[in-house]
Amino acid sequence: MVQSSPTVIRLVDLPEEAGRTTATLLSSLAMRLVTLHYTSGVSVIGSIIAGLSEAGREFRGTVEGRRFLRAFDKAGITKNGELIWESLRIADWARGLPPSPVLDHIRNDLALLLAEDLQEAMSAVPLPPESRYAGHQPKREDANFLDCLLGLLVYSRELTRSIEVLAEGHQEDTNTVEQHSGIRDGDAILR
Amino acid sequence: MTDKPAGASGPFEELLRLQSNFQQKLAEETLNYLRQLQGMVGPVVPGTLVVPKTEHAVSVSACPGERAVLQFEASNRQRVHCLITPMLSPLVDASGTTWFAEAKISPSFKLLPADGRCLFTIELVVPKDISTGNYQGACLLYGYKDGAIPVHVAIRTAAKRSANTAKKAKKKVARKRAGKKTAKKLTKKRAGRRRSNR
Repeated sequence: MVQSSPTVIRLVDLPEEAGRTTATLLSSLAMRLVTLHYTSGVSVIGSIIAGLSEAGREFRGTVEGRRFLRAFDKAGITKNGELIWESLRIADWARGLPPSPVLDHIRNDLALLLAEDLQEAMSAVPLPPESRYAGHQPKREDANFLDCLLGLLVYSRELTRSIEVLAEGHQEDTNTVEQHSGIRDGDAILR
Repeated sequence: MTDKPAGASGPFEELLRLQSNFQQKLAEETLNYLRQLQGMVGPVVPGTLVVPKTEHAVSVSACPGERAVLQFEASNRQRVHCLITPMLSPLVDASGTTWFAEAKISPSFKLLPADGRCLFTIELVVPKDISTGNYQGACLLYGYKDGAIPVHVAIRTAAKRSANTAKKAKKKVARKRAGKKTAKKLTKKRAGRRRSNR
């Protein structure tokens, strides 16, 4: 077996942004919830579909993504899925809407749950929410059935693993017996 | 006067058809424009940028039938936890040969605390029938901006690789000898200067 020497990479904040801190994550979550009040359901669903499609498009470029695509082809679901997608014009919901960063939402919410200074961040003066002027949006590929399906796979995997990792190391053994004070002799549940 | 054949449309019907098409198109474009306006200003969702410490790719050389291990270390410089999900892209040679590698990534999913570090390994099984060449691809850190680490896997035959390693070993020995010679010269010079200073 041959081995390479390890390359080092750093995960840093995006330039020209306040960065990922407990306060900014809390502010971002609050803004997302507030925005729901003045956005129509169609726009929300469309933005989520666009976000899932974008996530799926990224996954499509990996070996595992290609494997899934070929499996879907062999299973024969691609044709039916695309037919439903086109005839019900599902792509129209997502067209023109900004894709929702669905994976960033999971990661940021998970980081909030694990934050040690959440109490301080909540009691501090509320941060003015950071908003972005998108300006001219680059033309994006339309959402399609396969990309959305792959995006759903990746999204659900990330969500499941995130919740499992929260409980990692703290789970108790299974097959245990617990004693409760419960029903004593002579008592009856139904009288 | 003959009756008009069924299906023939006069200029007025044609005008009505064109007008209704235009109205439909106008309504669609207006809706698209309003949707784009809606997306122009929105809340920022803080993200993460991947910065490689050097410009070098993660590279390894292997023979057909061998196992090759690529390694990279991720360091979280943000102030909150980060989730990392590495994935491998197909590896492509200059000749166009694409290798969909069977890769075992360990760990496949990692929660890194602030200032945390983790070593990731990608174990590849090199197929026995793969052609030699330099295969290039990327390890994608899923969901991050610029989250791709270049990957180079050089596939060589066993004979060629042992010739390459022998060449490298010879160069290393030559450098050591050259280093010893220059060190000897330097000590002689210094000794000479001390004598002259006395």
